[in-house]
Amino acid sequence: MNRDERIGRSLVYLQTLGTALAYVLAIFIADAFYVARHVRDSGMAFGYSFVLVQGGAVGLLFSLSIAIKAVRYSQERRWERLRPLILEKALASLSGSGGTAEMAVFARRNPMEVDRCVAELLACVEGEAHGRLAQMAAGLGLLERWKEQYRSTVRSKRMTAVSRLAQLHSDAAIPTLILALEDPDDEIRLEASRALIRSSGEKEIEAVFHAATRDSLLVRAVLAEALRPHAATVSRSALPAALANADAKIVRTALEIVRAWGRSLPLPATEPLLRHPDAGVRAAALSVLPLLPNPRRHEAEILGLLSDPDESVRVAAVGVSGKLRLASAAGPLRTCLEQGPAMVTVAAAYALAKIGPEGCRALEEQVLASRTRPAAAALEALEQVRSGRMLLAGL
Amino acid sequence: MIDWQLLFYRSFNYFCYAIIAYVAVINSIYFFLTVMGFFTLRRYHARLTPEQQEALIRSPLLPEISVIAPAFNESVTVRESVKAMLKLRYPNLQVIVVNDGSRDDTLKILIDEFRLYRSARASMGPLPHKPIRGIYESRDPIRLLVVDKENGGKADSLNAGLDVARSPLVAAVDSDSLLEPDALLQAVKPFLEDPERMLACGGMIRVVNGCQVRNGRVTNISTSSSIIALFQSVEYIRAFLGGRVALSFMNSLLIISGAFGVFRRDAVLDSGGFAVKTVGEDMELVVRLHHQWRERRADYRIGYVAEPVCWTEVPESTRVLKRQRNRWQRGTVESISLHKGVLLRPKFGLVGLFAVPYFTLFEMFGPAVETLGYICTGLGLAVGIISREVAILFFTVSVLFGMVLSTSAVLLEEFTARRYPRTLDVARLVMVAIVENLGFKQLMTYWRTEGLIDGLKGKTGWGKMERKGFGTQPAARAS
Repeated sequence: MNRDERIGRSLVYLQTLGTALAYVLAIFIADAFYVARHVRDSGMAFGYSFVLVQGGAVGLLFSLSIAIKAVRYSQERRWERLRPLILEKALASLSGSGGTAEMAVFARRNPMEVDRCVAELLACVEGEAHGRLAQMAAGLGLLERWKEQYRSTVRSKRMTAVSRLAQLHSDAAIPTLILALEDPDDEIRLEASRALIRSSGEKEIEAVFHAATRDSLLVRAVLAEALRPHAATVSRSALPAALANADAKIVRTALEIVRAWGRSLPLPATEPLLRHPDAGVRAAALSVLPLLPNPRRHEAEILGLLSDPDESVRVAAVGVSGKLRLASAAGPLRTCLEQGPAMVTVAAAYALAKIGPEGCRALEEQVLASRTRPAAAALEALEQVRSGRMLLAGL
Repeated sequence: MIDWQLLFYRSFNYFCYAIIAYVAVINSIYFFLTVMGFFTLRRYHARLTPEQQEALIRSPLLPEISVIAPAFNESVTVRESVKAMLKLRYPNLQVIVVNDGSRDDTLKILIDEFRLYRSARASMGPLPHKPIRGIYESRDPIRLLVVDKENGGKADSLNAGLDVARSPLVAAVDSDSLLEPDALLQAVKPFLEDPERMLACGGMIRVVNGCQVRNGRVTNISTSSSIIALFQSVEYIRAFLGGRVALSFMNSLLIISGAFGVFRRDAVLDSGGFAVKTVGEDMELVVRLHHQWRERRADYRIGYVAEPVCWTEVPESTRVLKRQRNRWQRGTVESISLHKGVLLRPKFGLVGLFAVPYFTLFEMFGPAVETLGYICTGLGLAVGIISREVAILFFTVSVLFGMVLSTSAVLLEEFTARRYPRTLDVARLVMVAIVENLGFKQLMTYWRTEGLIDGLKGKTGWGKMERKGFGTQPAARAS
């Protein structure tokens, strides 16, 4: 658990405790200042105070539930009423036909609506108009407000600030967005990362890749997609640096991102990765092998890893052998089929089916040999390959 | 000489104090959990945005997941629910329907509807289960497996499904429940955030009665016209947004609803799968996971996320509801009895020192103590030990506390999920949250007490759940 997580959790405990104390305090106050003056028996008085506070709480909660719904409804109505007016002034201001002064007045009187409307426009306008809109946002003081809003401790406020800043596509927003890469909240980090990727600056993209290799699988998976168009930029220096990192976790995550890209990339020094002491790195390196130019040059390493002590590495090696249709792997694959644990057995059966006639012959022999698990796996793989369902099988 | 009358009066008084203390403690804990749930949701509640969902759907890094749906005599709903499962927004998804020896035409409907053929696939997992008669696959390009096996109960079917599945994650669902299209993506989020520690994760179960369902999707959310279903709507909101969020925050969640839960397959296989000899297999598995992982002093998490939504049909007749509550209570008794070794043992952390004692004292024995409280109050009133004023006050305090908890749960719903679009629905829920404490809750207490007695006696069996089917919601009642 990191520091931010610990602080967050402590805050929840403190808030809960605070509320419970406030509740108890309310009962004591009701007892001391009102009920005890009217009821002689102290036990009964305390009971009545309890009832009083609870009744009040039910009433308050009831009113709050309805009031929140009603306030939201009225806010929406207000937004629907003001939106066309703000849009009209904003568009007039953008086209240079006046409206700037009115926009400033609107922004003073209805800051939330103007904020929302400008954000809406920023999301759907591109090119020169977007630049003018960003200038207008800065002129209205929105840029400074959003930067200020990012300093809030309330997650939703920070999130709104980052998504607004992200839509600006402005250099002035970049320092705050880079700061947001370290935010304790996943979503905020993601929003900031995607904004930085859109800025297309090499430094910013490398910063995002660097952050992605250190983040959770959720963030990594989303960012890998966002970074895909910039794979070439990343592979120049950021990717080799990550692969040379002493921390096996970073190497593994960098390889995972490469696998997610599914693009052919010139990876530096693959052999050390296949011999890496960390099993996760070996498995990840195997999974990116089919993406490399001329992957068959690693045939010897793949064959060696078919007997790796780690099961996940063996499954990965079996999968790559099938994908690359390595005829030389038929023998070791057969051993995996006969002697492996369930996952290795099934993967080996499918890999043999992919290899072609030679692999299928091996599978048929297994079926006839009728050793329960390998035979079942072999039969299943044969059926899948012959009914053309190999892609659906997902192995 | 012993003054028997004085002794009786004194004992009765002490007993009454004990009951009052019990009620005070249980209400304080409920209050504490609800408030904690509120602050936890305020701080951590975040659903995946549409853009994130799109990115995840395209990503090969998303782990494969198998949805296991046991089906026993589900011919009314199975076609629609399987179609809905196949339409879930998750790229790497396999649906495994386990036909648990249905005596109706569940299997035939599946074979005809999804053009199934008997495949050469075999179960390769280590879990014991009743013999599999055949595994069927579709001729169409859909990832559906139907496992036809001899009848062995829900847990046995889930074990068969676990054995056939090969994905790292499995979702156990009821075949008569409807998952929201993005439910799996939302439920997998904790596993993506913390893949090494997260073992299991539950999602929010909501009441479908009263909602409009088309093609296996809830298209219009509304409250039910049945008062019994409405009571349960509030009950579900209270349980899922209050208690479970807080218990999950403390990593002490003991129940992941059988209607929808996602598990790491290796962890479930390692723990021995679902227990077949219990009616509360969902709770038992979660308690067992806590038990085993804490025993090993391993760092793990069992969580709950309020966002993935599973819609379920709740009973609208008191007869079926009574059976269901009886079964749930027996499930609690069985799970706690099987893992009593965790109780009050510091090495099990908050699970041993808070969650299991809380479940034992208040969830398992709570209904009995509450019933005893009502009886004693009546008795005390009759013999004149308790004054009418005190009895009314005690009852009012209890009822009002229940109202505070229920209305806060509805408020919590408004702060977070906001599923009910109409103000009228929210107003109805708040009204019901108040009214449920005046009769419905007491009836539940009585049924649960019966369940406790049955559980302690070792009674087994599920009882029959009557379904209307989703296609007709919210049409006329089932005959």
